[in-house]
Amino acid sequence: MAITDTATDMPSDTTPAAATDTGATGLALPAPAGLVGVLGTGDHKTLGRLWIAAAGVFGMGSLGVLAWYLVEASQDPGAQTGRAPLNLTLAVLGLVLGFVVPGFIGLATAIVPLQVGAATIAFPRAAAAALWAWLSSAALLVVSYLPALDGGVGGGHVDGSVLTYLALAGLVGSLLLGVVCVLTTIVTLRPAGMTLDRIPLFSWSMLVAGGLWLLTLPMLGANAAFISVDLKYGTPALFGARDLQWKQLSWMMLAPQVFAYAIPVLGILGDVVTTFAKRRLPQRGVLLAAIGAFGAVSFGVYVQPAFDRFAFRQWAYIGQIVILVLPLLGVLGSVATALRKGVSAVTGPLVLGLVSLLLLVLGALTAIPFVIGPLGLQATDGDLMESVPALRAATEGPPVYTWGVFGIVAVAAAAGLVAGLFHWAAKTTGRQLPDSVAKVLAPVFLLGALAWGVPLLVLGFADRSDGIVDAASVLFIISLVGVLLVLAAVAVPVALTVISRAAVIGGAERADADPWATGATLEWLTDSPPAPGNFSEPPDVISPEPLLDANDGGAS
Amino acid sequence: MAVPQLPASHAPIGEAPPAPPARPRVVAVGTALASVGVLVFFGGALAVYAQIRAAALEERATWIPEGATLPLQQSNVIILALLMGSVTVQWAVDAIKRNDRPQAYLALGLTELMGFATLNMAAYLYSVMQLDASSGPMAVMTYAITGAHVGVLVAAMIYLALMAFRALGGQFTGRQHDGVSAAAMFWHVQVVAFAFIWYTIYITK
Repeated sequence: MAITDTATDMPSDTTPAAATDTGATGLALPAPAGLVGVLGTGDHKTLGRLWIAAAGVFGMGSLGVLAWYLVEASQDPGAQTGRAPLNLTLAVLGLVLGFVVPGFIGLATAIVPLQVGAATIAFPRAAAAALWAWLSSAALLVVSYLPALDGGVGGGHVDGSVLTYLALAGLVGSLLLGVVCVLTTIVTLRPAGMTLDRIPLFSWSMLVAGGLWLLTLPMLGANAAFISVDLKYGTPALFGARDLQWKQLSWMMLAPQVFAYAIPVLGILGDVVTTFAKRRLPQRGVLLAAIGAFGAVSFGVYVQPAFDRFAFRQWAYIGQIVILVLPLLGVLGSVATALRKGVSAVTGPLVLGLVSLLLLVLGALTAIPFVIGPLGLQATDGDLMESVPALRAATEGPPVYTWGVFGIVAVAAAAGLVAGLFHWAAKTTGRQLPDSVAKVLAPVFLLGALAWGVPLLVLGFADRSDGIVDAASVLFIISLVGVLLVLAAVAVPVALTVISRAAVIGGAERADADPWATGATLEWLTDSPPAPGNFSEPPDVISPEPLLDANDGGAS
Repeated sequence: MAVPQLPASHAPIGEAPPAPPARPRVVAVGTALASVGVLVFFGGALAVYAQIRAAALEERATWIPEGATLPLQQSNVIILALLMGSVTVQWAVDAIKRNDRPQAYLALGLTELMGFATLNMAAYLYSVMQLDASSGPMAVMTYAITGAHVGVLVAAMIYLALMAFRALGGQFTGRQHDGVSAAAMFWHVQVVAFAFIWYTIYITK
């Protein structure tokens, strides 16, 4: 089978005995089982699980590295090493390209084909190639940061740094390949009757987010190409200069681009509300429009402080930041309307999704002061950098205030991802995860986001008060506590997911097809976990909530 | 009296067979999405190139390093070869649509030939430019952008070759030509990308 083929009978590890591969000869061959089966699989459920598990591990690692940086930043200036900024860049790259984006791609790889009634993901071999290439690139990124190689963004050794940028290009390329597979599934593999306005909200949000990632993340590849060519063959002067490397990549963590990574959160919350609303979702069109609008205002690749010293003063940029919160308020209003009409249950994923949305709103609101020039947030205070040397290279480009916004949005994305893990656990692992744990995790994420982000926001005002500079150590320690809380909140669902999957493989009882008993979209029509081919026959769709059609017989 | 049954081959005409279900254009959509990524890469890179060049010219700094040239002859030949490749690859798509396999193979082969001609000319262009990569940001960006285009061109050639082999295996017909069409689309995209490179780097210098 070629990499471009989209077969409908990809073997699944869920029923190894039944899975067969007819191959080129037409003879039925047993699908390989065990590790070989996993390594060679094109089954979207297995690939999704692998994406999620690996992203969880990289997420925890990235948070650990960030915690390490904050420990160092909270110490006396003399105790801070020159490697501290390297840790910060590794943490940011790891959180965005190793955790949040691949986590959503993993969830989408597992769930989107089920939501749109497809038998498989488009280009299953390419989806597998994307996973393994991403995993290899992520490992390469970590290796390049090892002290022995002295690489990294702004690292001391040319070859080590070139390896970092090779890994970065690999990460971007493989993630975009995964995105192409998901988006192609949404666009082409829908059953008749499922028009684009009828696709489930998570699939819609992935369509918006994936489109935006395709329109922005290749720029990271271009940045990496410039820097690595300059490092390897140049002086290096502009691109490869150690202090300027991070500045060129920093646009990826600045508002509004940082919000682009969290777009799927809105779709996850929308689908959770769809599941638990007692009737068809009111104002669904508003939700679709709001998610699309949020995608449009999250486009931030043009904000390049490394090449445009007036990047933060463009009127388009200022306007974009100011209106960023409006689509989120639209989502909030639609969700509130649905909740006011009553829900069948207040579940953990619902609470987590709401926390995630509130954090996104908070992130959008905290981004606004940054564009108000007189507040002086667009540069890090000189006295602060004097007392915290670890900030110097790290805040070239992204001032310390933006680290606070980044923290809040990153936690919003993580909380939304975890909400999705709990909501669709039956489909990804075969069993439900304990709902009470999700309810406990929600306040942990909220507290973690506030503790992580707010102290860094306060540090942004350091030029207004010497007291803030004096309290920098305490603020970094509070931020450290927040990061550790988030680390714990990420570790628990990842561990539960792995344990749950292991239990299913060990023969534990599987969940029902619709364990919530209120599912409205197609994924709840399939077994938990779905059998190969997902659906015994192409589902009929005449409304956005096909499972409700049998009850009320009405299409919307 | 029993009505004689006509054999299937003599069934009355007039009732058309039901139309086959519409096939999702999976390969075409996937290729289009990947093409967006490619165009964003070159668009972003060229935007940075133009921005830095504008800043340098504003400061009256030298843009093209002393001793280096950006000759037009070779870059013109490259764009012409690529455009001719666009014509031949579209010829291949048309031939496949008409089930004219010999012409399709000929056209695909000619397109590959145009690709090799482009690679050859790009190598020659690098040798005559006398552009030292360590001579400044202009050289770094020129090599990064044109080098990336060479990479995309090679990818397009491999994609076309794969589709050509599948065509040789009889996988594509007049009703099922998505693979060749998609590969042709990717070829056109890299030609468009080079057109922007040609204008930004070689024409406006």
